[in-house]
Amino acid sequence: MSTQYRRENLETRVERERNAFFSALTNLDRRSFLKVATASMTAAMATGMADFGSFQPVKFAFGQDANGNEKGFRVAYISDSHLYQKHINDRFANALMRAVQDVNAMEEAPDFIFYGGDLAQLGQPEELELGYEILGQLKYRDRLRVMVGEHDWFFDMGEKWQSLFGSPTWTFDHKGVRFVCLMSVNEEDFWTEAGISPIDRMKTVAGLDNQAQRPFFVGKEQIAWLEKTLADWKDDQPVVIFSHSPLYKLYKNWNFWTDDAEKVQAVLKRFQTCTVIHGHTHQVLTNKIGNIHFHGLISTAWPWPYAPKGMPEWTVQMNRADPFNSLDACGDGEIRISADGLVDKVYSLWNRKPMLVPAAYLNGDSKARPPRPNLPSF
Amino acid sequence: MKYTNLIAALVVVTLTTTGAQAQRFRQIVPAPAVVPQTNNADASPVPSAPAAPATKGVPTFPGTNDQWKDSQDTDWIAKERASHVLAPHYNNRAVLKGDQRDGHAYGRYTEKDLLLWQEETERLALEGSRIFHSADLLGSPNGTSCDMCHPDAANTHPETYPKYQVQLGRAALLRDMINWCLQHPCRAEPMSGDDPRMRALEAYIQAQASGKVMKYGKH
Repeated sequence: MSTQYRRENLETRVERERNAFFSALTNLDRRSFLKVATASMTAAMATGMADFGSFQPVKFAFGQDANGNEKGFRVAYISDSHLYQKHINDRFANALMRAVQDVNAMEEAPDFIFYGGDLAQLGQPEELELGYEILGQLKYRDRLRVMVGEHDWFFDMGEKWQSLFGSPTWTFDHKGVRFVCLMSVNEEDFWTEAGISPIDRMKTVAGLDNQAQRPFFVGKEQIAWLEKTLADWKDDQPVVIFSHSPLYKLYKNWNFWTDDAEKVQAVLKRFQTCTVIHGHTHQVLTNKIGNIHFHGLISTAWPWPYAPKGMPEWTVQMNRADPFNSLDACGDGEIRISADGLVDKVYSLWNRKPMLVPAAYLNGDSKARPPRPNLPSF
Repeated sequence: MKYTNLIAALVVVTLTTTGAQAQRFRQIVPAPAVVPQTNNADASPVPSAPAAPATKGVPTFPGTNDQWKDSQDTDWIAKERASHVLAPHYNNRAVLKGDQRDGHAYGRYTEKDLLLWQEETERLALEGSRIFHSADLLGSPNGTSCDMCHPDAANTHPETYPKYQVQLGRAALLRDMINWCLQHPCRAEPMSGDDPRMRALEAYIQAQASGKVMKYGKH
């Protein structure tokens, strides 16, 4: 086995071949293109490698207003890339690059691009800089809005991240919707007294099942800020909240949890149309509490298993991830916001058919329920 | 009669000869009193023997013991328990009860036995937990460790092995999948079946599935 083989991992090779394939395509005339496309499709089908999502872009209808006109706008999202320095792990970097390519290739430019946190794995300045560099390749990088995750924060308590991306909390209004981003991954100080070094603190928080850390919380000050930010917003005006951890209590052992979630929900419950978009859970995850809709984001790096208990009954699980397919159950997607502020969530899962979780499903239309999995998690 | 004499004579002769040989050996075998000097003039001088230890039991090379002590994380079990949940060990108290206990050597267990069983088994599983959560101990050069996809060993389902692993094209044991994960997502070297790390990993993964019903072949 040559060293070269060992160094160039599978994902790098696929990426290289994919690039070569697509650059070759641009040099083909229409007839040759069809030939190549048919041949590669047949070959892929024959080896059982083809999956339905990979060759034909699946389109979902946009939410329509009362007159049957499609209105609204779309937000592209990328989340949870968990980058190591490139010489340690090029796989995760390649995956983020693929997501950037996906967004750049969108037919209609998104109104903005949202990054859902956990850009780095161990909060190292080099990791964050690598992420900054890759996200800088977005065609519409001026439309990028970035949220922080615990993996970005606990090495230097957000110093490097803030120097690159600014404040972890922000708000703006866009086409009649108010967007607010919270920093929900604060933890009580467990390190000072125990004399834990910054890197060990980071590694403790980075372990999903590490019990030496504390549950996430938003905090009083931020909840007061949220209340103030929404004070001039009427009950019937739509709100979208971004937070890295889910703003409800799902499974404490893995910090799929926000300790003061009820207090945040109490601020949000007066709104008729309110959606919370969160990262951290790396899976198709759906919930509804009162009027509030909750959607998780999928990761570009790896999928988490579903929590062994506490799963919201609204969640239609994605099919179990195939470990032999390194990008299976990973991906990126879109947040589609209709004219009345309702959110349809698109999970563009790589190598499989995308999943749509429409607002209509959460509002009681059982026909809008996403298809059920045939390989649910154990 | 003649034969008997002959045999007797032979025995006598043999014994005498053996005795003589033994005598000769005793003369040859003893080691020479003086160490033979080497004829090679370029040979480095024989190093002087290390100074005799002052007290019996003190290591010959001072510092080695300290280094060894520093390299031992004597607290590792407590640390591992504080960091990661291990499923509870089975409660074996029932073996302390029952009327046939006193008439049967095999069944005569005490509280001490129960403690021993639990401590030794948990230590093996905890060692597995430590390896499971550490890219360094797994030998993974890309920072990937098992817990990154399998927090608390979730979705490892050891109770379903052996099973036909479609992607491998053969019936697989749990350790085959562990080795697959080591070689692919972790890009580490596979472990042999009797590698202490493999034994510990299996112990942890199986311990975490405590209470699950064995269903071999399940997909």
